Amino acid sequence: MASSEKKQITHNMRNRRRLRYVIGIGLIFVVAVFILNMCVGPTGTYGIGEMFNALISAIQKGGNDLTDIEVIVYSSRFPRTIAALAVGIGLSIAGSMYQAIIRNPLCDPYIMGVSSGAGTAAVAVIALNFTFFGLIPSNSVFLTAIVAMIGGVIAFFCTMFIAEKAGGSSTNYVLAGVIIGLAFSAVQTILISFAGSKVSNALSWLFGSFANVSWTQLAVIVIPAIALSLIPLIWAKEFNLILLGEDNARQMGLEVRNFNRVMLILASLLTAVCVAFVGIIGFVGLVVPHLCRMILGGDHRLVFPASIVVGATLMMCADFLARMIIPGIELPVGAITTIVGVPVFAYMLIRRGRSYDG
Amino acid sequence: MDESLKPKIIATVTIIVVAIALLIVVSINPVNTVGDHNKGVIIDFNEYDTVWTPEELSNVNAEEALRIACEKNSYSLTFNNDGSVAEINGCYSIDDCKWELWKIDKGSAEWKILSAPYDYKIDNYAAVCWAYRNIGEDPTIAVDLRGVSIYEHGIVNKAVTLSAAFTEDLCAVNGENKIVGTDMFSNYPRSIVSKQNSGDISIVGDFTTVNFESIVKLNPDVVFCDATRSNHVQTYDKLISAGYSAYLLDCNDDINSITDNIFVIGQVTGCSKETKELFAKYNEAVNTISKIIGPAENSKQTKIAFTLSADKMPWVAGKNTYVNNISLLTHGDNVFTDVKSWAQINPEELLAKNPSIIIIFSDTYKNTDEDYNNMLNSLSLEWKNTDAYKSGRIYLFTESATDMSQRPCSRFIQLYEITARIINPDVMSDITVNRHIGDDYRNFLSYTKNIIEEGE
Repeated sequence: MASSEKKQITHNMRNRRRLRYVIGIGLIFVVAVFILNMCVGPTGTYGIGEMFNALISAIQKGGNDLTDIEVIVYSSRFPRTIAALAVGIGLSIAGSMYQAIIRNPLCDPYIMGVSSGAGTAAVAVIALNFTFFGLIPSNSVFLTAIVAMIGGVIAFFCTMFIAEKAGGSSTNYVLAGVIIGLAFSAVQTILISFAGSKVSNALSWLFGSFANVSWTQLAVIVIPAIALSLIPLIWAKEFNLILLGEDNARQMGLEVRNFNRVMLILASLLTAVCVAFVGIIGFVGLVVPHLCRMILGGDHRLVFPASIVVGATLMMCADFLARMIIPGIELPVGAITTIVGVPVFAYMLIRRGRSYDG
Repeated sequence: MDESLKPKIIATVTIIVVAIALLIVVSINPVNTVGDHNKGVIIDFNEYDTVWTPEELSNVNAEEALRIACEKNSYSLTFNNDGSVAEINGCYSIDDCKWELWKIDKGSAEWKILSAPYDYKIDNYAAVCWAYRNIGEDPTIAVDLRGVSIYEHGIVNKAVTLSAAFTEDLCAVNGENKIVGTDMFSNYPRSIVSKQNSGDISIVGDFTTVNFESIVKLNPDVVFCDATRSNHVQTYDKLISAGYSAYLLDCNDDINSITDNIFVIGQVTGCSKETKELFAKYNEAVNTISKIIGPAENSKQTKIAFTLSADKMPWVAGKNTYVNNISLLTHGDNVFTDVKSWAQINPEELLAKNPSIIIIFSDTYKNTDEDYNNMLNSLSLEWKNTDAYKSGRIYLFTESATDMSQRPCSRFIQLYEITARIINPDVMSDITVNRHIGDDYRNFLSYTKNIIEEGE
């Protein structure tokens, strides 16, 4: 056996071992942080058994005639924790997909203008009661979320249209995404200036929070976020081919343009779903993929699963801190995510930055 | 297409199809936001004088319900030959003001009039009311914005108010001792702050979020939520689905909305007697001040502007604001009624409108001569060329007077008196209002001073 092949096999085995460690440790963290979020809150701490009993009892009762502890665990802590987990996974995966396809280390889930589009649409609903020309009932509990999702998707298709007309290269996509994002942000600013007394509602949405996630909303966040996050796992090998460059990937049988288009659409839908109910939460989608690559290298068969556990853990930690730093008050979870993530990322960058090129 | 990709494509499509199917299944579950069926009838004598007959009146029609209610309350009742109501308890239908039957459909908050014959089953509606009303006027509010009746609530010992305005309203109807939780901006009466500091009242929310868990921990009998705040609406939905009693109130920026909210809060918390007393005091104060300043039609209107800062480009109060309501009642002519609500204006607009009086609501400055003069010196030339500046009629409301002015709540009556004094100094000369007003604003009140207590 040639020594280069031996090296490759050793490298692969090492990466698989690392993946097992990351997934194993990550899952332990995910479970631990999930239990922490469920047991500890601003109004009190419950034992693990007490918490699970309350949750199971509340589910058995179908959410009716609950005791205080059952309401707190079932109606408050569980939906927001699961939503944080799903959104953390979704944004991390979306960020990993964008960074792979566009091959730009500064890419995050919002690079295609999705957050600006979703934010503008949400502010339009809040400030002007915009219902997409009557398509969505004004009393729908999902009005803001659905309109935000549509806004995000429209912004992405605007980006895609410009980028494809310009040639469809990664650079075209980044530039088109930036200008579309700026355009929607400008409209958003104008709408906020007309919001009057509804400014606080607009800010509430833009700050991002899991506090108001209900059971009805939970399914609408979790099902698409998890489903769309699973898809890139299936295509991890093709994502690796993209990293070799378009020409090499094409020679190896991949229809690069079509693959990129489909994956960009999926990543944008995933981002839109994540921001629609809980507002704009930055940083996770930018930093988690980098963290995973620093630890595991660029192989997406490792980066995607690792992003899932790291993203979920980070987001649940952020949600925990958002409600615990000042008891009774909810801090913007987007800001907390950044505050938690920056020291971790800075540490990794200092330790591994010399051998890491994005 | 590369054959090796087929399984991946099939797996991808399967995931998408399963996700869509699951979403459809969970979306079919309806959200229950409609209140219980109606269990009584309201007799509304106008001006928030309502009588609720809390009787289980299933399968009873509206006319029978009225007869039962009048009998229970010992009211006289007379019908005309055409079946319409001629009189209830000595209150006679006349040309412009008549007894009519009104209903609110389940899940709605809108009154609709019903015509004879009055054989409508009352439990088909969220509320049914026999109301003595002028043509074009709606009956007194009877349900919250989701159609939940305000008359059928049990005893309230623990209430949570998610808005500082609602906190003040509940205290105004003598319900302060029922408050166990408020938002962080509830700071009046002062005793509320003392209780927050001592832990007797928990803070359960801030400007952008409400902490659901903290509310639940308090196990409140009722929670009052502000429908103009999206986070309150979401919290309301979660509370209702968790089995808690909550009311979603329209905290609009006008006096009718304020008095409606006081009425609802008083009714729900069992303070309806105190609410009637409060409204009687309001009426007495308004009548007294109206007599002093004279009727609006005989009086010259004074051009006035209300701003939120002394900036070159300030936010001003437009047509749909409660300070505009107050200026109308006090012979003020708000120069910015072409603006819908609160809005930021072009600097030239202030000069073009040239108000004779400007009232600034801003806690940026202290309530001192020095700060007031600094504020005047900092004004732009557009401000300095207005009649208000030239005649020295720029007023600064700061410190707690800012809350009193900006918060659409029970203290509107005190802003009404101060504004009346500012606009009509010749006829209300017993007290001269300072150019800057702060925590001492009660010193400039006489008719409304004791209507709302300051608290310890």
